[in-house]
Amino acid sequence: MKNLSKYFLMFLLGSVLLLSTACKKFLDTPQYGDIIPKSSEDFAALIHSHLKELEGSDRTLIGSSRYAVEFESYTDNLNTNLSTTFDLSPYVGSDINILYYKFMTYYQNIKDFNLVLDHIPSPETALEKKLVATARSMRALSYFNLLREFSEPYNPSTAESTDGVPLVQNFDLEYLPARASQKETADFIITDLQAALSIGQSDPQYMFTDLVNKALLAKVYHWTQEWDKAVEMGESVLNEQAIVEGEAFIEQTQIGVAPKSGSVLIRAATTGSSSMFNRFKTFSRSRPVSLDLYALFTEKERDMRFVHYFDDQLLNIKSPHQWIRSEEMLFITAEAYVHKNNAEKALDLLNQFREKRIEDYSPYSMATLPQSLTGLITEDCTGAPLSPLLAAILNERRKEFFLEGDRWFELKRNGRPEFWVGFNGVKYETKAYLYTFPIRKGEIILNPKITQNKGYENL
Amino acid sequence: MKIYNILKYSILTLCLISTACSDFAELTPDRGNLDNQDFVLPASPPLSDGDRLVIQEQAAALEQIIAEKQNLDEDEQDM
Repeated sequence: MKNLSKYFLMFLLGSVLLLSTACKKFLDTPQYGDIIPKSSEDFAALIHSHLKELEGSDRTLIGSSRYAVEFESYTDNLNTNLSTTFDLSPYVGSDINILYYKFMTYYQNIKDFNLVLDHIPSPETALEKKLVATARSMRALSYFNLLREFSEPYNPSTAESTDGVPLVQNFDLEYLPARASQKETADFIITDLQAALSIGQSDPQYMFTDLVNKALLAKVYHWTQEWDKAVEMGESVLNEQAIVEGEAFIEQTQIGVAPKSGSVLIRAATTGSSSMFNRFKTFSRSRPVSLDLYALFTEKERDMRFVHYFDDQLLNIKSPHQWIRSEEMLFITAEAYVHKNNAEKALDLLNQFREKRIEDYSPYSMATLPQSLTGLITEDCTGAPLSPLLAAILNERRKEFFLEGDRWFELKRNGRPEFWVGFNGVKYETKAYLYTFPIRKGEIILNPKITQNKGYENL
Repeated sequence: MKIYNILKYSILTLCLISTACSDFAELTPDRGNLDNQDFVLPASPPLSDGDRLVIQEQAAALEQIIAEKQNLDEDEQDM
């Protein structure tokens, strides 16, 4: 009996020892993200893993066919009232509990870009320069997306006192900052892009070339209403990458998963499977084009977009993509000229553009600009009533970037108009606060310094 | 008696370990609780008769456009 107790005690002690050792060993297993890269080659692998994601079906940084269709379905470009299937959400509110996850994804990516930038403070070799320039570009784009999606529309007069997003500038998992102001966030983005440009990046393998960085800067200046700089950057890109016309444009409207071509400066989904693309292109046909967008095509069949964007049932036939192309630079520049009180130059750009899309085109003059406004936007980004010239530019932009995920941000930038849609017997209303996505509640529990966006505090 | 004692102590040991493990698990932040806190938007009302009328008008306008386009196509084929 005594021996048995001794053996049992030994067995018990042995078991406890074994369990605790095993636990420790289990807990000590390196988890994903625990292995810190050290050499330039390690950092190159990290950057290339993000570039590889862009080449596939990116859902965050540049966007995808999926987001192009989903974001379009939240706007007035497709007629939700006349939906024939349940493939798309009736309005943005239905997806709000999915959209806030983007916040977390952006910061997961930013962590990697910070890691590269912290470990290569002063790049020396050609490889290091490419890595640092790319990390800065991708970090800037991540923060720009956060600013557009998780912060109120930018107003220069209140940007210093309006919440932007938390700025995490270094690799530090314990750092939990409060939200920076919109101005600080915008300045940070611009500094990153300028730093990338100062390094110089021309290797197409790294996707974020100098031309792309200039286009990103033009988009940031446009969003933040720095019109002089928007013109400078927009024109700089247009001088290097002209807009497409004729057959090249038609081809661009029909392209699927393929390398970038035509006027596209950067795009995702350049390789891999087409299944996601095909699926969402099919979904985009579950609603006809809205009647007010259709009405904007006053030249009918003479406008090549009228023929190549939708069929006889007014259902989409254009390929949905979120990408950046030089045509956007033209619209940024034209709008900036309006705000710089140079209507002549803005009108000239608009006419140059329309001539490339419309057969037998008669140029607009200030006297012949359409006077009746259509669509939801009735005020510009400064809150002033739309002038006929600016309305013509925004309407042309709306037509050109149909199903490219652009309209949602244009509505947000220009007055956040409220509107309703009917779906399955229910009336869904897109309220102004829904244009800014909520911060995930879990983020605020982890970091109470982060304040929730207006409208969501008690939801 | 011996078997009884072994069983008794084994069960006690298992209880002890499982209690300690569950305590340890409770100390770990529960990601599930952080993630599953959805926003509940105000309920959307049903469509009113006026709303349905607007939608019916849009459907009629769409039908008219489709019919016009089809007629145009037939005219082109005839020519």
